[in-house]
Amino acid sequence: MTLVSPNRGYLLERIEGDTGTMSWWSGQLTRVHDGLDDLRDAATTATGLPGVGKAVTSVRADAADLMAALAPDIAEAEHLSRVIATYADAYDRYATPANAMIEEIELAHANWAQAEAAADDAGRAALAAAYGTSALAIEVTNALATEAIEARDTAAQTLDALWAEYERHHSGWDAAYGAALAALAAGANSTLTPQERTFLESLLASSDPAEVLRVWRAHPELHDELIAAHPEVIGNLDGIPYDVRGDANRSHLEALLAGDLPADRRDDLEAVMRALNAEGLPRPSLISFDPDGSEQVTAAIAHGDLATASEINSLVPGMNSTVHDLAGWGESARELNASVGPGSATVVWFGYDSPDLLEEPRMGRAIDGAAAFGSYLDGLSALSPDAEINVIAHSYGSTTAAMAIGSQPDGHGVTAFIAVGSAGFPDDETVMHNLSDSRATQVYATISEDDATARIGRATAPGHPVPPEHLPGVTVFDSDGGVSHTGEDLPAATGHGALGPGAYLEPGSESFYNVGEIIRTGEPGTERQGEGSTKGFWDATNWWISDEFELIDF
Amino acid sequence: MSDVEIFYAELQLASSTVDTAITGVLLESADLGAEDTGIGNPASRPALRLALHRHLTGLGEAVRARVEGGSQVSASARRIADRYTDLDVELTGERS
Repeated sequence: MTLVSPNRGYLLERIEGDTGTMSWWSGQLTRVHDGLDDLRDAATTATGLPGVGKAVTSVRADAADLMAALAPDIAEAEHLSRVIATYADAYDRYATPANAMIEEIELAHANWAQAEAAADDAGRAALAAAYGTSALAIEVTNALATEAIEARDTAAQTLDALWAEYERHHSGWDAAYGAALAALAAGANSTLTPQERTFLESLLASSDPAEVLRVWRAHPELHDELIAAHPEVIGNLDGIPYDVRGDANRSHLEALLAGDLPADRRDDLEAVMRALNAEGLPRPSLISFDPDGSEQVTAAIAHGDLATASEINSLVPGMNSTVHDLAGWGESARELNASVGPGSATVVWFGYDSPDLLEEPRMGRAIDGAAAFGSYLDGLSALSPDAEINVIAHSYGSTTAAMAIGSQPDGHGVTAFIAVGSAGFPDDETVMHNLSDSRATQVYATISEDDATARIGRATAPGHPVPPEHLPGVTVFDSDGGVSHTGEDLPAATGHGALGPGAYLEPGSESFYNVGEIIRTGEPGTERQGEGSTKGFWDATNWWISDEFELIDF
Repeated sequence: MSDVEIFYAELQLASSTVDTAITGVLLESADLGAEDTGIGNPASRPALRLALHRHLTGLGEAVRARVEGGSQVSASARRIADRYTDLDVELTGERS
């Protein structure tokens, strides 16, 4: 169990970072700065060329243009180098000593817990003796209780002192992190007024989305300027209201599409726009859009009204998913809203770099994605505190979502976590502890008897081999064909796909029907192995490798 | 050395100086697309990692554009120098 600091609520966990790599980058950016500076000097040579002919005049003009264009780039390289170096210094000063205290605090906490239990026992013994007639027993048990209480208080003081020091280090790092973010956002070529800059710094220094929302609401007079200057920040900052983010991101997308773009970049952005222009009332909203934060363009589109929804569902895709799939997933999102009924809104969350085939066995993409997804979930809780939050994740998306939801005892406020065709949950003690028999989040899972891909994914991934269907407390539901409450046939998932005929999230399939029913009622809509069930490859004739029997567990 | 010869040498120098600078920039900026900056997701926060990636991507694109701009300057200067017989026209505006 992860301990939490008593005053500031910091989790006692390693603050991630590698100052060696940061320092390398800082140095490298200095070298880029110097290289650009040399290019500017070289361009100066060309601006000094003599001659009056058309060609040499053109060379001088081009060189002058190049010099002008280089100035902000040189400033940016220097700025980035400085921001990284400053953050690396702060990391060494605060995060490194905080990390070094973790074992000491865990030991001190264990000592204090042991001393407290001993003091309780000794107190009870003294109390019991007080009812007796033996003066000696009373004297001895009182002395032992006094001694145990002193030991407990000493242990508590030791622990308190360590926590105070840890919180001091952690808050120093926290401030440095916010300062680095603000420095990056303001940039080397900032046009913000001091007041706007202070506002931006306050937003970025906020410790969680709830604080972001409070800070945002405190200064409505600065909203327009900040959105115009930094749509990439405001459009993706969890805690900012979704209508604001939707407008900022759409404007940002339109502005990018209006400019010159490489062909592949234009294809990506047009795919986002196509998904955004799908039918539906209210119109789909681009609640996050980050073309350059990751290796691939990331985005999230809300279908339905997040501000009034009582059920907010998030669909998380798996391996090889890109923004070109947003439109297809959007159709499933709208069908899910229709299936659940009024008050349902569904977000198609493509907010992480999904892995390719070579990356899939590893946890890197899931760890990065989980950090972003956890922040997104906290944003939902801050903006819609009364809504139930449900997550439906496919394949590696379920690995990512499990990492996020399972990292917190409260599951980031998620009511139902539904894994379809999971590529396996992470082999992480804390995550498994939080997701097993969880009181915060009910986990549901299904895997088709014809889904070889998910099984191979689990079998070949040392980082995420855990079949969610076997976790204690998980509700397993069928995806092998069934019949709805109203007698309609529900086709089976016949492979690993998320969308399309025979896929898990294809509207009308048993899997999709059960997802809707789980959100609506908390229970799957069909019985396991009930009417309409079909036999798949991994079913009875292959029982020795079936999930049901766990003899060979893929 | 005649004015035209001096002009020729200056064009060659301008072109080669820009080319050398471009080579240096390309060498130093080759890693701007790399993912690992050492920031990670401290305390499960991805914002700084993402923001830094955004800036590094932007700087990388800018560097590519400047390299292209510099290459054009260098090539243009070299083209003038290569038309040696036309250099006096380019220098003075008059044909000798």
